[in-house]
Amino acid sequence: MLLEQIINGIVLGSMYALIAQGYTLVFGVLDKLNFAHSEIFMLGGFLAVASVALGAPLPVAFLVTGGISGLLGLIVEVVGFRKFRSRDAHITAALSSFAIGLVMIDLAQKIWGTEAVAIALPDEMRIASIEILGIRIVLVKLAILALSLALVLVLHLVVVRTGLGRSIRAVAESAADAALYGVNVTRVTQLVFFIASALAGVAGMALAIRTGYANTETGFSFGLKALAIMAIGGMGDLRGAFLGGLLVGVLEALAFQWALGQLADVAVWLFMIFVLLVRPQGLFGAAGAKDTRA
Amino acid sequence: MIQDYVMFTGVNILLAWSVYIILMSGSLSFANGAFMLIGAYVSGVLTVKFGVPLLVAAPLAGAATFLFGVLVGFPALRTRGIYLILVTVGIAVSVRGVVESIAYVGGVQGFGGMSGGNPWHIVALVIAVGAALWVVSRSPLQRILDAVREDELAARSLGINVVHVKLTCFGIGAGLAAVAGSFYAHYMLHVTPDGFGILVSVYIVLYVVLGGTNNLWGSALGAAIMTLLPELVRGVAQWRPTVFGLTIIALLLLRPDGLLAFRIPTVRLRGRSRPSRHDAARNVATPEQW
Amino acid sequence: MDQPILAVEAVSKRFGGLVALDSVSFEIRPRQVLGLIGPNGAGKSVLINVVTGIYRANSGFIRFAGRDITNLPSHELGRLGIARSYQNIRLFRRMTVLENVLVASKRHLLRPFRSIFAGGRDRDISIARSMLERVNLTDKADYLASSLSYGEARRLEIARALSGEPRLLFLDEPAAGMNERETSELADVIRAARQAVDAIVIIEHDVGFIRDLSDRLLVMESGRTITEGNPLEVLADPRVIEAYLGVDDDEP
Repeated sequence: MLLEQIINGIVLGSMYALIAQGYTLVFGVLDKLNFAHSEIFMLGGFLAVASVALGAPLPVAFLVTGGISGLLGLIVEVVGFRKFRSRDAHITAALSSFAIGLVMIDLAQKIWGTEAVAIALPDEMRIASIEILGIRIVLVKLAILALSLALVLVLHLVVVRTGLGRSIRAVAESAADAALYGVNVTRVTQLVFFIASALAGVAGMALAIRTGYANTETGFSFGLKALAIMAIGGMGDLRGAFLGGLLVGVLEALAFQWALGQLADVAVWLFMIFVLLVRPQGLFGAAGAKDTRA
Repeated sequence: MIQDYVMFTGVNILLAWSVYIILMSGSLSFANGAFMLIGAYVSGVLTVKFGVPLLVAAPLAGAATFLFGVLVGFPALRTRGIYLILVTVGIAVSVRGVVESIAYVGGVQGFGGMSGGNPWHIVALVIAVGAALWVVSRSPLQRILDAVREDELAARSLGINVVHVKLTCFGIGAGLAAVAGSFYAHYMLHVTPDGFGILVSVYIVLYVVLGGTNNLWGSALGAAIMTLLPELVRGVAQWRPTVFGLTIIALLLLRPDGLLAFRIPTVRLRGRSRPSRHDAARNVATPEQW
Repeated sequence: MDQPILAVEAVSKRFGGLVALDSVSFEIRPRQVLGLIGPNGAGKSVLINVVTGIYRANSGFIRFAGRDITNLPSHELGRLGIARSYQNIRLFRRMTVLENVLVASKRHLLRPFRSIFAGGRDRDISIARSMLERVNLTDKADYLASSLSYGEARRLEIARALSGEPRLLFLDEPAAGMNERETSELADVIRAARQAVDAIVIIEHDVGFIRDLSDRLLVMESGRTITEGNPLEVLADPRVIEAYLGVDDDEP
């Protein structure tokens, strides 16, 4: 059913949006790509499995997952990005974050094995559904959607309305200038990593709940795609990442509907390449923002 | 077993060199796993479905992938740095995705029935490619590549056709990865698209980073270390990604040029004099200047 | 043959709403050194960048020895015989001094991949060596370009530009940031370079430096040419003095 698929797409898209916004936050502030981000997303799924297995109720599990993911983000910042602060060390930082990602995958496989691990939620919880406008929607999906949208909203409010958000925007504009105005750039960077990684972890938990499993492939299969989404939406543009996420989520769901699922991945990346070449500021970004030939 | 060591080390050295060749003109490519994949499949189809001998199929696959590389490189190389990394990641993912959906070559299940690969092919290739790279490193071409890599604008002012140079290097790197992939596939007898995912491309780049990006020996060293270390040191085999990852992280923090960081000048006026403090023995370049 | 070596005809360049060059026209005759002066923002560097193919002109024509070169890519211009140095010296810092000069050798860069088979290595080296002798850098031949002092680096950049055997040489603020001794060494190099090329254009702020080296001066302001002619006349022109008033401290 078309509408049902669109709703699926929005749920999927909201998850992409969370991850993509995480990439965006770091890129906005540092002008660098954090390739460990998708692995923190992957670990979020396992953190969820672990918390639930230890008996935590879902809200607590979300907090724990988000918190630990955030802490992992802080480690990534210190190890992979702190030293390369100079505006030029983009590739070095990217490579370092790739390496950190490798370590994360390996550790996850050593701890939890290479097979998918089920999340111990009672079946009734996963199947419970309600009917809206004649469509059966699984409650879990609705909850995930609500949570994701809430997080996006909170992030938006933080960035736009709070002092922290002002500092983040200042650093994103120019770290040197922000420092002159008394902003503690290191602290802001750490917070950005924490927030971005917490969001990724929560998204990972959402995926685990939705599918019922956590597995070590999700970083490369879902997480990396969010990077393409960020580029499509507009590098460094939070709104672009959000809209891009929703757009891609819906298109992917529709593609599955029409049995073109396998090529959905390919289409997203090819589209990203096209956007980077033809409209480097992304679909929703401000013109003249980025020069990919720089 | 020793056959395996020789084979895999050799293939990885060739793959590392395929990235190095592209890097020589200033681009860091994360697509070489995909080029390897194309080579494996094209040569496989030629030998299995058309009965072409391996020693003909492999070069053909290389040539085809060279053309593919040039074609794809033409738009891709308009981007640089981080953006080029993104684009080459996109190429890697897309190629694999497309191959997975082609039933003729087995889709996700992979492609089999290949045979005839043996380590001697690889040994010969490593020697040949190494020799070629060595000859280049002492030639005017090396200077031209270094100029393009370091400062495209200045290179252009001198009259260097930067686009031509970058595209050719990209194509050659792609072709080399494809040839390596062809022999690899015919040794493994059966390959799946899974085995050529983005992770492979990342590993290859990290071999080059580990070994050193300023000369041909570095890439070979990095590939050799990461292939053989797990075999020689107990415990490393199970923890290969972690050991590798931690090594790279430490390396980038302490010695970003890699283990063999030097660049050897193509000529010296004064012959083999003892290097002085100012001499060309020490070259520091961060990955941004690669 | 009295054809101008370079003829710029009504060239304009805009960046968005900003007009950087407004219908600029001038000529350079063979055996001339033209000094291009003007206050900051006058458009001198933009003009050079347009002529050397880094920016595209929005309108107008540029002819090089009679041939239309408007909007040709910079590497083709380099091959045709237009060379330049940059305001912020762009050497290949990881190569040696000798290699920086060698890389300009046209014979190889026209066919880079075939240069592996080209012989003549010793001849290349001896030609490069004599170029280094002319700029007094032979002792540093095997040193990394990054180890040179500022004055030496500038001389190397010019030597590299000359090694391509250009007909027309553009020097963008070559004396910037130099002390007296370095400036004087640079002037010697430029005087020697006159013999090697058909014409030289120098952008410079240091009016004293450029007055002595140039045959003619061209003055720009706000994207337009104000006047052109003999250095002494131009520098006495009230319009030129007004354009520079309060802007330029470098006059001796």
